[in-house]
Amino acid sequence: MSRGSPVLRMAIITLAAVVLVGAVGIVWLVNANGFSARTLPTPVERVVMRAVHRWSVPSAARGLKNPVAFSPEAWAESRAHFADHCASCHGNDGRGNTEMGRNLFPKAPDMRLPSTQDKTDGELYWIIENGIRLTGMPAWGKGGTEDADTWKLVHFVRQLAQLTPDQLKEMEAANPKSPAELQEEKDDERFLAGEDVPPPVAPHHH
Amino acid sequence: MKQLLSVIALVLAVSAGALAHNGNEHVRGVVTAVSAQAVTIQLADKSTKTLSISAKTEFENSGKPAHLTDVKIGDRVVVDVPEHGSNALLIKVGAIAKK
Repeated sequence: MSRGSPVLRMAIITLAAVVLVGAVGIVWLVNANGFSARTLPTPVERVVMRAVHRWSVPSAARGLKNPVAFSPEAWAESRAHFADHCASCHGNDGRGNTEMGRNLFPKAPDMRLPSTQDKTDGELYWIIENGIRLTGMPAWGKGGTEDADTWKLVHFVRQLAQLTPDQLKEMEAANPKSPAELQEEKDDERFLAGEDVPPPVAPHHH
Repeated sequence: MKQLLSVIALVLAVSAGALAHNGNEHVRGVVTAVSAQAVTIQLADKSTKTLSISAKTEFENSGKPAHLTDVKIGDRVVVDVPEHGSNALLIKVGAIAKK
């Protein structure tokens, strides 16, 4: 049995040493700095995530057509639904520029951009219904293909660029509020009505 | 599944506390001066704060759209301003301050 040439053995040993040093270096770096969701994904992570997103939607689902006809009523319903369930991360305008959206890993995308708008209706439906693993996107549905509310949200995503300031304001009123915010609203009303109330508390970040 | 969705919705609702007023602060006080450019308000601690008014500033009185002319000295107001900002986004006008 041949044991290989000395040059080949030296090359293998050198490669093993480089891999070992690299691995030790990575472990040291991770141990020293940890992982943070505040950083942007590395190029490698972006490639992996794009692949995961692509694979997470079955090919049959990509071709699904929206069975809910677009109408002003469906759009209004989807705005209220989005404001209540989705805007905490995605923002009412879909830009993802919220405290949670900015600090997720990966960050909530700007859904007005081609990275979202180029997806088929079926892909958008699937993602809303089933979520995306290893991201902040939860599964909001039961996994079927006929959830009318989810299909209306697909319409909403398609209409993001058409949202008017009045519609955005209307959505703000439908955004979830914490007990502290609800209390402050009550205090504002009491103050405006002439009652004495404690001073408002500045918004806190977490 | 409904329970799961309820839990997620609850978590999101509670977490939204971090998004208080979409990052805006409320300033409550009594108007001591008002012009087309700014409104000065006396706060509960008797300090004053001057907030700028722009074409984008909205006005509201009893939940209905109002105008700058509806803001008078002595009125109680609640003003939405961006966090760490001084430009008034929305001025809600209320009762005349107690003497």
